[in-house]
Amino acid sequence: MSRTFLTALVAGTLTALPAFAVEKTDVLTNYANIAAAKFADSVISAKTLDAAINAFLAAPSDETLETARLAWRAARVPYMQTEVYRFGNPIVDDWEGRVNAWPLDEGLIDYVDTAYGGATDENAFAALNVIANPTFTLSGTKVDATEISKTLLSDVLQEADGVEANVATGYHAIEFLLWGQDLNGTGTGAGARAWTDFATDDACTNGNCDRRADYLRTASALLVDELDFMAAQWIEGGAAREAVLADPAEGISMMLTGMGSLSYGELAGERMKLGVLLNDPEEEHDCFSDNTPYSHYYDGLGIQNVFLGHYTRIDGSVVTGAALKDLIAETDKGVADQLGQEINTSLAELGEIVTASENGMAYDMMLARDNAEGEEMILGAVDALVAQTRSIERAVAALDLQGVSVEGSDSLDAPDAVFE
Amino acid sequence: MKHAIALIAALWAAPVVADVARSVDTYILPSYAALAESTARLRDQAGVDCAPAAVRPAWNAAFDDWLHVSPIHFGPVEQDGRAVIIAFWPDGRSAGPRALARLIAEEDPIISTAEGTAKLSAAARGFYALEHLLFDAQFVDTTAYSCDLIRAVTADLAHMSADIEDAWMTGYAESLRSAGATGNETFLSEREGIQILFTSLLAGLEFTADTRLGRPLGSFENPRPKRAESWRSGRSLRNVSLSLQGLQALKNTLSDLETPVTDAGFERAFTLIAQLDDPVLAGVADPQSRLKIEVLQQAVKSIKEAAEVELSALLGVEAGFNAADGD
Repeated sequence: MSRTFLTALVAGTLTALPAFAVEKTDVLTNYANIAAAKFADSVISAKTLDAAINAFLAAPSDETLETARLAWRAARVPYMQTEVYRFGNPIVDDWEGRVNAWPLDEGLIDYVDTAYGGATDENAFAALNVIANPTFTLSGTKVDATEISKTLLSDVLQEADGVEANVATGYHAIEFLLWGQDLNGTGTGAGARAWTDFATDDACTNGNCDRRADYLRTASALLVDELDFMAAQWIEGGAAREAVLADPAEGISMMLTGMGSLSYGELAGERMKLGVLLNDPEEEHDCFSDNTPYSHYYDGLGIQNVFLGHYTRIDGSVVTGAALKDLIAETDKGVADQLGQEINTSLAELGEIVTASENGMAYDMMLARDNAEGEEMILGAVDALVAQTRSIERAVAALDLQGVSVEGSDSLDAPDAVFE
Repeated sequence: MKHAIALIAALWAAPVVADVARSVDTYILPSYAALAESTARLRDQAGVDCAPAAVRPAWNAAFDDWLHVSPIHFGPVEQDGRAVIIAFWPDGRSAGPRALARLIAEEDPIISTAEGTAKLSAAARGFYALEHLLFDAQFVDTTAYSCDLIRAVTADLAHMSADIEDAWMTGYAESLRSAGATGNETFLSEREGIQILFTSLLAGLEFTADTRLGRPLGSFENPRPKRAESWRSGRSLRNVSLSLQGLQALKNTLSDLETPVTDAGFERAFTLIAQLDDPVLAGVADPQSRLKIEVLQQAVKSIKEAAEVELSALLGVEAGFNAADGD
């Protein structure tokens, strides 16, 4: 900043230059730096999880299982903060289903309770149970799954038969194997899979413990690979970083698109409001572990990170720089202040849900038909997220980013081509 | 004062770029009034005779009215999740039939009051739950309880529709008409009023292309006819047509600007629909007829592209965020 000031003085054009102007490119560089740090943290914590899973599988017990579960929860903390990068950045959006697809028909992977049912109109493989079935036919093709390989999970089973609920990889597949189904409905308790599901001897419960262990080991290693890939997209020269920096107005638009789409359609709508309206615990984001309040909270925190240009890493160090907030404030301080307050409010509301869950009201209990208090808490957070979305739209308008996302269109460039 | 006069003069000379008040008065309000009336008739009919065959015509008529106004996804219809409850679809996890089957098996007395019915899962309320009760082989043999359930859900639907109309009439319409006026806290500028309607137009076109048509289309190798909307009642294609008519009404009332490509796009889509003799879109599974449905889907996508380009620059707004921005 002082250098800018000095240059301005030397040039003798102090009055003509906005000496402290926030440069879009600085804001974008900081945005990319924060993404790089978040995905690097996601890799680090996924490796810790992977080590804990391998320790558990080497010596299955209540204690080693609990350590693995804690590592999974910890791994969610940085990852959820990356979700604000999803919707604005096609490179992230095209990839994210490989690590965070949800909701899943978990019967694809392993045994399930009889109440789960079998194949459905929507999904012929909802109860495939690959752990119990080393060979099966998928859309007319015979599949040899005797070896549970990364390719089997990511190229054959993931979205098998074109059905999104066939989730074979990522955090939620691992979550299902660590916790099992949550059979408590909207009552107390999360999934309660016993460590013996992975026992290496006669203690094995529910059969195929070796294949179950192979699946968990493979899914965990694959998660590390996937996150490694995405972290590499954000370092110097990475494709996602380059895409953000290519055009300043477009880059800022990508930032705001990510904030708005996550706030409104995804978090407020798909993940929160729908569950309340359906009273359905299966609509809970982290439904096996009941970790949902934290996942929602860190989604919200991620939005604030982008706005303030500030991220606290898992080792406590801070990545910070030119802030979107200041860029908006230059044009419209009112919008910047209001959006800042609204994000504080949504975070406080999401924090209330965390507190309530820590005090014994799990997220799925909040979805119960007669839990007015839970419903009010969730809908309070939904309203706050919807409110901040309106201000994000106002920020887009204030920064005059109009038109940046309207690209060339067949219908105007060559109308005949469209209607032939 | 000089400014105000200059501004008025400028407006006088300019063509009508966007007319939010006209959309409100000639599209939104009459459409919600029609919905409130036809859902009340549906409730009354179910009260007189709850046999599915007797209720179906009134359900069809009310559903028609809903589809016409379904592009409007903001304001009173968004409050308390009404849009999701009135039209819970798609239902990829069969939450609707599951919830209804449970209610019927347990003969859950919660539906004996309006307050109780309002606590039900969204999947057990609204037009699509009623479609299961009126057309699904699993439910059509009515018992005393399922008759009560049809009555409760139709009454609930009429109640929500009346509440929506009432909320528009008693304040929301005025706040949208007066977007940007001093003291208007919902719409801080005229632009925000235009933007919310423009966003509704684009989001509605996208939903019809990607979901109403895209879901049954699936992929060439794996078509999904049973994912078509309202196939049980035989009105999948009708829903496509009615939603497009509503969207066209929204577009035409919003602006007098010349939008030849958008207008031609609507006409083209209606022509294709008229030529498509396939009420439940079952043709997606046959390579020959599938192509016609793909062409229709492409036509609807083209309307959206055209509207985006033709209207965005001229209206001076870009689409805002919409509820379908998530997955």
